[in-house]
Amino acid sequence: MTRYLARRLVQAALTVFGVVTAVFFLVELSGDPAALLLPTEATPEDLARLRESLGLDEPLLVRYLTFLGNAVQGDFGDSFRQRVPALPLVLERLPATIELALSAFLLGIGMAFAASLAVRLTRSERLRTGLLWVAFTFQAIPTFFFGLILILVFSVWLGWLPSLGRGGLDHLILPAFSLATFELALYLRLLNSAFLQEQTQDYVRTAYAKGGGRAWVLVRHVLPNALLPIVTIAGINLGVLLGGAIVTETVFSWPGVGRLIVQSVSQRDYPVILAGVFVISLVFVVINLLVDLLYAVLDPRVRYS
Amino acid sequence: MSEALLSVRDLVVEFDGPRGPVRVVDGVSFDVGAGEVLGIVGESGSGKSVSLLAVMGLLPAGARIAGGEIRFDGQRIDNAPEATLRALRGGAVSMIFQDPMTSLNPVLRIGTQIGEAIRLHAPRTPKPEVRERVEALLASVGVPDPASRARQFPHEFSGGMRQRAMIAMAIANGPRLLIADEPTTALDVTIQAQVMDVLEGVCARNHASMILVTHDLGLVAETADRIAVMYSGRVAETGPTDALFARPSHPYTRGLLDSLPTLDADHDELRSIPGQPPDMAARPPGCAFHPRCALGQGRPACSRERPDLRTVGTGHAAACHYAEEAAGDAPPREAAQ
Repeated sequence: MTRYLARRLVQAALTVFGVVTAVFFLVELSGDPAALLLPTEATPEDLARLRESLGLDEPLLVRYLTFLGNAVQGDFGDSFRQRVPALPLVLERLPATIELALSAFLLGIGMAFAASLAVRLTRSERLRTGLLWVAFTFQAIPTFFFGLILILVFSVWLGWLPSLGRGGLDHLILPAFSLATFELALYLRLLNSAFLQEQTQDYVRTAYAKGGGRAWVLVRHVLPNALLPIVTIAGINLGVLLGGAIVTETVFSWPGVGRLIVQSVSQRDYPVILAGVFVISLVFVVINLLVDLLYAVLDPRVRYS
Repeated sequence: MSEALLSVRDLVVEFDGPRGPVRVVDGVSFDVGAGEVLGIVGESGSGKSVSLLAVMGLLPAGARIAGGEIRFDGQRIDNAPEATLRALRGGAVSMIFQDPMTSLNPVLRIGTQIGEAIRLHAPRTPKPEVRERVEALLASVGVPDPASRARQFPHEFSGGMRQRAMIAMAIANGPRLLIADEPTTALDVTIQAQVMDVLEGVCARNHASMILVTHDLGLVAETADRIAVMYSGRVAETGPTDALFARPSHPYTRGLLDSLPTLDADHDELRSIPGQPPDMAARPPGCAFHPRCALGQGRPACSRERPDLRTVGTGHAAACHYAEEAAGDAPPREAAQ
C-alpha cells in the first residue's frame, strides 16, 4: 500500500510537471505579451525595455529553466498586469471555484440518484423515458445559452435571484443549477444503465430469496455495486469541474479560477496562466488518486499493491 | 397426498416471446412430503428451474404463472400477496442457487450476508446474537474458523466454501423446505460430494424437505426418495427412486439411464439420446419427445395425442402412450450406482 501510494505520488508529480511544461511552451506561441501591455503608440525602445524588465529578452530555454527553478519553490513570478505574485492571485480564486464545483456536483449527482432510484422502485417505464428526455434536453442545450435563459427568467423577469457575482446562497443558485443540469444528464444515464445491469445479477435473486423487499434489495445490494462504475467517472468529472467551469463562470461573472485563466490568456499574462494551470492539474491528479483509493474501499476485490 | 408440504398442481409458466407468450412450464404437478427429498431431473431448458422459481415467487421479469396452483402447507402461495411470499422466502422455504461464484454479493462480507437472512425475519435480533448465530451456522456447514471467515468477502472463499456459505444462509431460519437448484453443478467433482453431504446433513438435522434440481441422475439416485423427470416443460415420469431406476417407464428416462456410464461394462462410446430438446415456442404436436423417441417411431398416437401421466406402479407414473412397453424392454438396473 505504501509503495503503491509512493508510486502514484511520483506519477502525479510527473503529470503536473508535464502539463505545466506543455503549457509553458504553448503560451509562447500566442505572441508577445509586451505588445499587449503597452499602448499602440509605444516605441520599439519602450517595448525592449518592458521585455527586459519582464525577463522576456532571455532565450526561451533559459527562461524555462529559470521558471522551473522558481516554480518548485512556489514562485510563479508576478502577474504582468497586476504586478503581484501570480500563485496567490490564483489561490484566492480557488474557494469560489470549489464552492461552485462542489455544489453543482452534489446537486447533479443527488438529483440523478433520486431520479434513478425512483425509476427502479416504481419500475415505471413512463417515468424512466420522461426523465431521460429531460436529461437529454438539458445536455443538448449549450451551457452558455441555458445560463443566459436562467438569468433572463429568474433575474430579469422574475427578479428573484442575482444574475452575477459571488455572495450568499442566492448568488450560488443559478450558476450551480446551470452546471448541475449537465451533471444530472450524465449521471442519470450512467446510473440507469448501471442499475439495469446489476438488477439481473445472481446475487440480486439471492437477496430476494432471503426475503428482502424491493427497496431493501435495491439500496442494500444493488446500489453499492451500481456505484462502482459511477465513482471513476464522477472523479474525473469533479476534477473537470474544479478546473473551473469556464463558460458558466464567465456567463455568471463568477470569480473563479476558470474565469481568471481565460482573462489571463487573452492578456497573455504568462505567470498567471502557468500558476492557474499548475493549480488545476494538481487538483485533478489529487482527486484521481482519492478516487482510486475510494474504489478500494467500495470494492473489496480491488487491492493495491 | 393431502398432507404434502408443497403441492404443485398443473403449473403453467409463460414467458413473453417475440411471437407471443411461450409456455416454458406446461402443466407440471408434483408433491413434496415432510422430510422427503424430491429429485427433479431434466436437461437445461426443460423448465425445472423455472418451476421452482415460480414456487419461490421469483420468476424473472417477463415471466408469469399462467395457470395451476401451488400450495405450501395447505395454503395457496401462487397468488399470495408479496408480503406473504417475503415472509416465506428465506423463512420456511429457502433456495440455494447453482453458481455460488455469482450468487453472493461481491461487496458485502459473508457474515453480513448471512446475518441479513436472520435480521430480515427477526429485525430486532441484537447484533451480538446475530454474529453468534452466523458463526454457529458457518460451523454447522463445515466452514473452519467461522469467526474470521465471517469477516471475509466472497472472493476470499473457494467455490465449495461459497456454496457452504449459501447453505448456511438458506438454513438460517430453520426452513421446512429447501430448494437446491443444481447446487453442485459449478463445483469440482471432489467438492460436489462434500457439499451434498452438508446438504443432506442440514436437511436431516432440521427435519426439512428438499427439492434437488439437477441434470445429474447419479446425484439424485443417492439422495432422492422420489424423482420427477422433466422434458420440455412437462413431467415425463415420476416415481420412487428405486422404482424409477428399476423400471423406467418413459423412453426419455430410459435414454437418460442408458447414457450413464457404468463401471461394470466396457464402453467404446457413451450412449446418447439422438436429437435436441425441442424449441419451447414450437413444440412438436402430440408427445413432445416423439421425434427423438426410439419406441414411438411412426406410431400415430405419439404425434397426435399428448400423453398424460398414467400410473404404472405404486406412486409411479409415466406420460407415455406405451409406458408398459417402455418399462418392459428395460433391462433391470440397480438404483444407486
